[in-house]
Amino acid sequence: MIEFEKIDKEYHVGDQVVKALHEVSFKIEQGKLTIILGPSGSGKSTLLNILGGMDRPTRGTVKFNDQLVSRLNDHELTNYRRKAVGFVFQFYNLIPSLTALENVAIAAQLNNNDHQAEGYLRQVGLSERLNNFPNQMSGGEMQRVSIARALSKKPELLLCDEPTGALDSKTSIKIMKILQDISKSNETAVVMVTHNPKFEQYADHVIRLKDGQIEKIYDNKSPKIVEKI
Amino acid sequence: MKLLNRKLFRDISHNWTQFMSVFLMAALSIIVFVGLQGAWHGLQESLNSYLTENRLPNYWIQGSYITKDDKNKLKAISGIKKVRSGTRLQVKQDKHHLIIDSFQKPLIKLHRVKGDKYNSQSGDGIWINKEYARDHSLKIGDNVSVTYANQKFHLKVEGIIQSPSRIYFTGTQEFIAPNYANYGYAYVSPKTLKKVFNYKGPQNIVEIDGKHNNLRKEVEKIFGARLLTYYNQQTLPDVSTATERVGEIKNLSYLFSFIFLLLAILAMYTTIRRLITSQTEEIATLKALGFSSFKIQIHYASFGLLVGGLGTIIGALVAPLISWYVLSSQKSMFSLPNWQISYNFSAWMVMILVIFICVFSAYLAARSGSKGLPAIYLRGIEETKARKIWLEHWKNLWKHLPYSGRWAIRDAFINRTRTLMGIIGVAGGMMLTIAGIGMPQSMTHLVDKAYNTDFSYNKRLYVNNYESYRKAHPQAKQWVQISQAHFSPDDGYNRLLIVVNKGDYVNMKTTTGGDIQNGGLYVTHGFAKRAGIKKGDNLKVKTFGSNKQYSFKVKGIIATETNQGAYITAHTWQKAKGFYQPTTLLVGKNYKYHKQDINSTISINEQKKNAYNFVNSLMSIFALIIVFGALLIIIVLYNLGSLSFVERTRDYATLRVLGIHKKELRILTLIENLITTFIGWLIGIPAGIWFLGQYVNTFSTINLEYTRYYNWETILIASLFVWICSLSTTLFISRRIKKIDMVQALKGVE
Repeated sequence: MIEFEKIDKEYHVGDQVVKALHEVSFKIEQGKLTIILGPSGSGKSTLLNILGGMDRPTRGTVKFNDQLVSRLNDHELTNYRRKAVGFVFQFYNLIPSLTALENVAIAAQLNNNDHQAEGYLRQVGLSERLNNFPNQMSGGEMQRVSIARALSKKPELLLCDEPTGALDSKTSIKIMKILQDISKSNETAVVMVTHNPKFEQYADHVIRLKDGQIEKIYDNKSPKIVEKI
Repeated sequence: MKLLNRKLFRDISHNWTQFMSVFLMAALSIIVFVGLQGAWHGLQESLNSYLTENRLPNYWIQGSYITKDDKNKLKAISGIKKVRSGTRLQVKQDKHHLIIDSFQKPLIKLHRVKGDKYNSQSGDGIWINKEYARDHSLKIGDNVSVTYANQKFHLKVEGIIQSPSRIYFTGTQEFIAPNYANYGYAYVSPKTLKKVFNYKGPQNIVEIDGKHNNLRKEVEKIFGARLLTYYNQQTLPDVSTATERVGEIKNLSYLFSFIFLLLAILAMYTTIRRLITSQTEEIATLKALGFSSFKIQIHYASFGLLVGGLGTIIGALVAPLISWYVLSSQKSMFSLPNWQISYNFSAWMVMILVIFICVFSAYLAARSGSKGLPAIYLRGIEETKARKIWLEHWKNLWKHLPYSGRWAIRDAFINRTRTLMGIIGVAGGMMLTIAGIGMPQSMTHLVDKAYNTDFSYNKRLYVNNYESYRKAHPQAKQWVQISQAHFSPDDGYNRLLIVVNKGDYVNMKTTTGGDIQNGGLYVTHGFAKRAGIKKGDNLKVKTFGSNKQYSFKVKGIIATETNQGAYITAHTWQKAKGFYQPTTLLVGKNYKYHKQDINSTISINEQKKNAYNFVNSLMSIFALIIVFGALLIIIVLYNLGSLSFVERTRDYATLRVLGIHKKELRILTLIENLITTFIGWLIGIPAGIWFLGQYVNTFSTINLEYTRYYNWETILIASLFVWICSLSTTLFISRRIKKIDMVQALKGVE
């Protein structure tokens, strides 16, 4: 579904060239939970930005269902993000003046799907909090709204940037369960970026990064089901 | 502190767009207030020094003749210091009119522009006023031929002068602005009058120095039927128009500055507060490092000092240009030897106030952001306190609003000060624009109404003799008699009584739309308002040149702007046995007359042209208002848009990540400014109409009542102007969408 082939990403900082990614190649499949692991500065965010069509690689190709994402112009990249990708942010990035329902609906209407906004909130267990503003919710609830917002676009690819990074361990597990369920039931490819190795056990597919290069890629033959923990 | 100062400069350079609006509002407030003050205070100072140094008399009297006894009686009145009598003649130089005064010892000191100073012993010299000399290319030593009583006399120009009692010289009450191409004034010595003109008539004018609380009554007692005109410094249009102009510009500066200062306060407070709120973590870090709260507060107060101070300094440097610009526009109207710009202590007060507001806003914001333990702030700032608003109770309306609209409306309610600033800014801009467009429109309307509707003659003929002309031309009409009169009750000033005979050229209507009819007196609106006269009141009238007092019932109030006084039909006036010897004949386009029967003529086109000259002299001030109105809208909306954009950058970046196109986002950014503009525009319409009325009123004088005039075109043009300013500013801000960095949205809260 998504194929990274010999991806290089370089940044120019003053006179220096910083290599954020070097010859990174991997595949991501539909209905799988992929976890990208790595310490700070390993290139996780850069990789996520390229996956999400927010940045272009310096060299190499990114294919999404045979479409060359790395060659798309700005307008086409926006369409790619609009139709194919859903985002879950570390700090939720909800619009403070919109209620939970409105936050989901504003994204859902991009795909003429706003009438189903309430359903997505129910799916993440927030049927009681539809009309609450972000400042009236806990971190876990806000992250669930953020997930509902991402799902409301019916994405083929759900990208999650440290989705549990601002949450306590109990809430983190709840979020993890939702993401795992999504990958199983919605036939969506879920990609989660994290520095926390404890999540490795839940993934179908693990990509370990170090200094901008792939340290290890492997499939988890029997990923743990969150519910059972 | 050195490093904190470095931080201060860097912070300002990083957030320059936000500080720019504070800087501009501070500068504009000073430019408007100090600039206009420089003009009115300068004009006041120029006038004061001119009138004091050149000994402006307190009273002027014109009689059919003046005797020694009259002078002695006047001198005996308490408070009267000096009484000087002289002679006034009206002569012609070619086709132009010259008013010649002659005094043995003039009370006033004529300002000598060129040549010799006035010499009462001169044999054939004439001292001509500067502007008339300029318009007729007269130089010292030139010979001037003047005609008086059908005889031609030759005089030598000995001096070019300016008289303090002729600062705004129109030559005749039929003109509202100076007309030096046709009317001038001059001085000759009594010796010249006797020797050259062979004048043997009596003296007819008196100038008085001194103060008395009711000299009018005393003068009427002394002169009786011989009294032709009586003026004091407030009623002599040649002087009062200039002194009133000081008040007009002064009122304008206060009206203007009030709006600007109000907005400057709001803009500065919201901007500085916003900036400092965004630096909460930095404040906490500084506190954690050991900086005292006081030091931190002083550091942030210095933002206000630097930006506000810089704006004030730049404003103060630019203000003299506005002062000169406004003063220059007045130079064609007023005859003054020196023009200066001048400021008083209130300019300093306003400068200090503007800086203080900036410093205090910054201090207050920093104080609230530096209270408590650093850890509270290091944990991060609380999200905006979003809540439901009252509009949401109207569910049918609310549910039909797009989500972007709900977002903008809630934000507007949550950030009340910011929204209020935007609304006041747009409403203020709309007010100024309506006033800027409506003012020349009101003045042009006055001219059009006066010379197309109220009066529809083609020419005014001043006949030499009414009786003989009437006998020779019994069909001639419309006759009008204009006299100065003392009405009781009145507003303390002598006014005009206009007796109109049958004809089609005087068409003014009453406030209820009626015509002037027999059976009573019709008082003009301005006079009625000032004197508190109402329809149905009884009014006593005594015209100058007569001893008799008449009593009439007020039959109506006339809606006219010019010639403030009263109108009466010749029939009613004659029935009451009033003296009726009109000298003015209003005639149409094809009326034929013999020149020998006519003393002088004035065409309505000349009057119109003259009135338009007066309107044009004020055009630069009106243009200034429109420019400042536009600046106000642009700066306020730019500031509002910038603040809103900065606060929402993260949200916009998130939406870009979610797949919203730049064009869609641009529309989203427009919504809040459009809502603000719409509300401001809506409030600005009635406010602008009210402001136009107030503004027009500041130009009203004793003799001219300016009334507000506007139509749908005024509102349409002002609205277009305001909306174009608003939309272009908002679109300009929305260009920043291109620079939104989506990656920022993925980063943690800073």
